Amino acid sequence: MNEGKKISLSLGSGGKISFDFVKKEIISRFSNPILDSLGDGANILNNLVVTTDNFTVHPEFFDGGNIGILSFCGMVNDLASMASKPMYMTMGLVIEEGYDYKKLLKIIDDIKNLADNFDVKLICGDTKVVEKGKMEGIHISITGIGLRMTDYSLPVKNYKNGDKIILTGTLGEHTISVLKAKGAIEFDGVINSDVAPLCGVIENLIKEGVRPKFIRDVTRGGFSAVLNELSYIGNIEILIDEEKIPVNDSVKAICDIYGYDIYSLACEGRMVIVVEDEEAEKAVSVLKDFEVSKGSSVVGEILSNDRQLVVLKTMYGGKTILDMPLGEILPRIC
Amino acid sequence: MCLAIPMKVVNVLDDFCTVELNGVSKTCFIGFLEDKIDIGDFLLVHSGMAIKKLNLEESEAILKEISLLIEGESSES
Amino acid sequence: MNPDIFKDKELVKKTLNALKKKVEKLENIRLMEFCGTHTHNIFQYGFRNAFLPHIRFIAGPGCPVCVTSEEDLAEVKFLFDNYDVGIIAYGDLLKVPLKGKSLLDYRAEGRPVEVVYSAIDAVKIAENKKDKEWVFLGVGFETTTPGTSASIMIAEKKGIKNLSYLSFHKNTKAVLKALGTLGNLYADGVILPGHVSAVVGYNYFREIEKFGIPAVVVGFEPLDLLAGISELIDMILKKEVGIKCAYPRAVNERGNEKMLRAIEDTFDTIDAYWRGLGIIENGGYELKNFYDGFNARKKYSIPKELPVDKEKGCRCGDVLIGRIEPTDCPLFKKVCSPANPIGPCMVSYEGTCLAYYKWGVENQRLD
Repeated sequence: MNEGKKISLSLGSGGKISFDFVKKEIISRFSNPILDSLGDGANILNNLVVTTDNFTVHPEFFDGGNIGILSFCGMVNDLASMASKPMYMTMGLVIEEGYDYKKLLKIIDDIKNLADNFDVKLICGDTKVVEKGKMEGIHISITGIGLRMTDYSLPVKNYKNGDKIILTGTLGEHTISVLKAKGAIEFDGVINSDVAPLCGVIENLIKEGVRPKFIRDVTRGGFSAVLNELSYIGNIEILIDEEKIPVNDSVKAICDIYGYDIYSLACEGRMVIVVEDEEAEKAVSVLKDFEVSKGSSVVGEILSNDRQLVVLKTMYGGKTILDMPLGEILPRIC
Repeated sequence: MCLAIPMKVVNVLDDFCTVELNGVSKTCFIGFLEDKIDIGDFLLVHSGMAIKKLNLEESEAILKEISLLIEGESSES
Repeated sequence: MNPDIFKDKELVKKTLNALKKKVEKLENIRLMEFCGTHTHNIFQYGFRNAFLPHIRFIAGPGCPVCVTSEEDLAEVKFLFDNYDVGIIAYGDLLKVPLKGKSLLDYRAEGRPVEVVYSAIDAVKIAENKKDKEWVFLGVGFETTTPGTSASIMIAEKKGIKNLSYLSFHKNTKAVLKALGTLGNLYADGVILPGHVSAVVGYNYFREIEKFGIPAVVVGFEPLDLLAGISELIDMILKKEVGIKCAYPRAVNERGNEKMLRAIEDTFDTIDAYWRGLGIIENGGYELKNFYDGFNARKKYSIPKELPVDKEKGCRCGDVLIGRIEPTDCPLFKKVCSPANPIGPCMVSYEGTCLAYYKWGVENQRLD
């Protein structure tokens, strides 16, 4: 049946096609309770959390970051999404023959500096070099190990009417920065990637006594994908208030020009956090104290209806549906 | 049918000009416009090409009707 | 004045509330929009849901990518099968499948497929990648067609030899003709496309009058849409027939004559296949013989009438004119799905069939 079928980019784009592939070809084969929970990481033993991720962004340097910063942040953000504090990491490097040595050192140093900041120890690693032309630049794979800070594991399954949804900042800067670096879009002006480590923020949130029910970093598939996953996990309807969503006007302009849907663009330094109504105010005030999450606000809530649907109350007063994004982000003419 | 957005002219060069929106600027083909283009004009830009210079004063009648609609419906309730 | 006023949140909200009140006594008024971007924006701004059940929106055949036919795409397949060429296309076209295989799939196989924002960018690609022959796929109505003219003019001036054009451009006047051949429009009023009208002028759509229903040329910002809908409702209530323009800052009766001339200078109208509708007389644009050197059909001797084995029984035409609901189509969900769309209503992200497929009912109330 799959005779001649080839892998397309959509498979790795984080949208519905990726999700379907993982369910159909991975989960079905390796099914076990830990894997089946579809978290950003896995809870194992008593309180350990493990996450793994690959980074293939090309070009490796873009406005506001590079592949090294991206891979460290991606790893710690995944661990933070499981309410865990990052402790250890492993690092695999696959490098193209002929790659610039200085660039490689810059990438490694950026990872080291971040690891020092957050007291994460590199415990083992692997380096391979691939013949020139067989791949492009550098790929990084990182596994992170963290200690769970809560006495329950995330995401929880039960949500109630009025639970609040917090978003920690503006959307889409990362995708726009990378598309520009790739030459896929052209404009004058700089939009820096939002890439940032959020593990410190989440650690503080939990230390302050907030008991988050769901934490997810907004990456591939964007805000829409995170909300649709939440709706699926909790079997709930979600209502988002568009007016509360912080906007970067330049990103909005790019979206208008190229016809991109801002809610399906990736970030690398934004979180969606669900807390009970009574904790929302406190959570937002804790988050706002940090530079990386100073744009935090409550952007929506959970409705007790048991239909799985993400509804957006638009800034113009209407209502519409936020759907799981389909595949690659492409410009439109119509 | 076609995605086109208003962008402001910040520079004119022959058949092309630079247009801007919220701090983002792009080059745009203006070879098919009938009007003379000046800095500060708003152009309707579709896929890298201006299809029309916007005549904003023409909008006044529409905005008037909108305010009448708003007044009318709010006075009825 | 700044055009931003047309997306002023507070003004739009007030207008929306007033318009909701204005229509609250009306029952099932059916407004048809021809333009895919209207459909998209009406949905995105939340207006589709806001007027239920008083006003329903029916998405007509106004997305040039969705009506790009299997016959058109067979020509792309022919090029890939027989020549070592690269394809340059607008992003919209990349996901449209031809028997389950889209340009994205070709790219996954290693075929060069470049995405551009503007037809003019195709010239840059050909200049920068001289070792390859490139074919630009010209998709779109009269708004986009002049872009292809400009691109050809620039390529000619620069003496570019490794770029040719495959025109799938469609003629919007034919939308009305096509709908006319299907019978009535099952709608109470028509929202005419603002951006095509900016180019062709609204006199171009006079034929709409023969359907005996009113039509309004509408812009795309939220306030434009509400103003246009309000105008159209007034005309429906007064039983007026004819065309009014609610987008005068961009549209007049005659359009942009320079662009129309550019189209005329570059293209002839020809009969063309429209997905879901079949052959439409004068429904397409083909490059004039003068530009044979730039015409991919001539350069690569693409045979006429390439075999296309099409799924029979698609009722998209009837969905487009509002005669039937998607669930009445025998292919719906059985053969036709987002992964294997047969007609434009399933191809288009905002298409009526796709909306039904995803959410069960097109007009689900959200509150």
